[in-house]
Amino acid sequence: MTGCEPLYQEIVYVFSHTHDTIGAEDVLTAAQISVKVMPLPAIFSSGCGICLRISPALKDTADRVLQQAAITPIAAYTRSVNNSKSTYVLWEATQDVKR
Amino acid sequence: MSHSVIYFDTCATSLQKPAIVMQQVTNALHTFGNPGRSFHTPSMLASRTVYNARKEIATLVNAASPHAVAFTSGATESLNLVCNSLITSQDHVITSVLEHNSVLRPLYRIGCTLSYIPCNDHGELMLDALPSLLQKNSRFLVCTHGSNLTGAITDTRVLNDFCKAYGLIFILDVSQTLGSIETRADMADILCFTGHKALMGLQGTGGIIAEKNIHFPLVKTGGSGTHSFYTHQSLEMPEVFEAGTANAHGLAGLHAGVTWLHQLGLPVITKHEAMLRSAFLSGISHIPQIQLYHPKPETQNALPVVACNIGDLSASDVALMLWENYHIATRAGTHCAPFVHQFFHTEKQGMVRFSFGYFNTLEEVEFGVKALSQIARDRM
Repeated sequence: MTGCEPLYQEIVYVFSHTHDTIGAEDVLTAAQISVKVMPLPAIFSSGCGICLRISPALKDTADRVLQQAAITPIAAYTRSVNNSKSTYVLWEATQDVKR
Repeated sequence: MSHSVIYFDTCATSLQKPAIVMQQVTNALHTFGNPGRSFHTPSMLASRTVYNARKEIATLVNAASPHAVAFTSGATESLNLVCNSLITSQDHVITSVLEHNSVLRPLYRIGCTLSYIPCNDHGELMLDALPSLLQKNSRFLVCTHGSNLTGAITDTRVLNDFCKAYGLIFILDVSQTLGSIETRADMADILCFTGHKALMGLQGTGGIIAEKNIHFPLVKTGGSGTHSFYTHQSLEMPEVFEAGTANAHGLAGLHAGVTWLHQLGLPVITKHEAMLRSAFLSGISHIPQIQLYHPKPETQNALPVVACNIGDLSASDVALMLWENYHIATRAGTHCAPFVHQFFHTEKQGMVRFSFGYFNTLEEVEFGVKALSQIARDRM
C-alpha cells in the first residue's frame, strides 16, 4: 500500500434500516447496476450499519430503480477518496442528516 | 429419517424436510456471519438470506412488502410480543375455546378480561355468538386460523368483518395453516406464524406479519446494528420486534422451505394433505369403538388433522401401542388446548392426534388405519 491511490469518486446511499439496504442492493443488482457494500462511516450515525456504493454515472438510473421499488434512502453522498482518506459531501437527503 | 418410522405428528413439527432445506442450512453453517452487522461477505450472505426469507414469506401471504414480516423464534414468541406490545389489563379481548396455550397464556399473564367464542359438537367455532361477546372496552380479537386438535378452520372473513365493524384489532394465529392452506396477510391485522411446521423450516423460526400501520410499543430491545447512539431501536416493522442476532442459519432453512413450497405450489400440498385426511377418516369412521373429534363430515375445508379415542382407553396407552407395535408417531395428551378437552370431557383421557403432512403417503395412512383397527378390535 502506498497511501497514494488516485482520486476517485462514487455515490454512497445511506438507508435507515438494514433491510432497506439489502432490498436496495437486491433491486439495483436485478437492474444490472453494479453496487458494492461498505460499512457506514461513524459520522453518519443516523443510518444503519452498512451503506451502498455506485458509480456517479449510474445515479439517475439507480434513483429511478429505488423509487420504483419504493425504497427511499435517507441520504446520498459523494464520496471522494484520496491518499486513503474519504470525504463525504451531501448530494441529497430525505431526512435531517449530517452535512 | 428412518423409513421404519411412520410420522403422523406434523402439527407438532414437520419431521421430513425437503432436501434443499438441509443443504441450505449446512451451507449457512459454513458461510454465514452475523446478519445486518457488517459489509463483508460472510455478514452480507446472512443478511441477504434473511431478506430473501422475508420476501418469500411476504409473497406467500400476498403482502405488499417484505418489511411487513418480522422474524421471531416461533409462533409463541410472536404471540407474546404482539400481545404484550398492544394489550393492557384494562382491555377486553375476544378469543376462542379452540386456542392453544400460546394464545391463552400471554392473555392470562396480561390480565385482560376475556370472552370466548364457543364451539359446536364438531369442534367448529360458532361465530354467530360474536356480537353477544362485545363489551364497551373490547379492543382485540385473538384466535387461531385452524385448530391444532379438531382441524376446524376458522372463517376469517366473518371475524375480520366483525373486527372492522367494531374497531377491534384482529390477531390471527396461523401456526397450523400457513404453508398448508391458503393464508393471506389481509385475513387479519396481524398474523403470527411458526416456521417449523408446514413451512418446512427449522425449529426456532417464526414471525409476525403486519401490513397496516399499527403502532407497536417496544417490548423487546437491544442491539440492532443500526442507530447505535439512540436509546432505543426503531419502532417500525420489522425492527420493532427484532433485537439481537437473528437466527440466520434457521432462516436459511425457512427460506429454502418456503421457496420449495412455492415451486411445488400450495394447491398441490393442500390437495394431497386433504386426500390423506379423507382416506384416514374413511378408514376408521365405521369402527364403533373409535370416537372422532372433527368438523362435520360434509366439511371439506379442514386441516389434515384427526383426533380420536378408542373406547375408554387412555390416549397415552393408544399412542404407546401405535409406537411400540407399529412405529407410528402420533401425539397423545391434551395438546396445550385446554378448552377443547374440557368441551369434549377428555381432560383425563386425552386424545390421540394424527396429523398428516405432504411427505406422508396413502400407504402410510392405510397402515395407520390398519393399526388403529387392530387396537380397537383387540378391545372388543
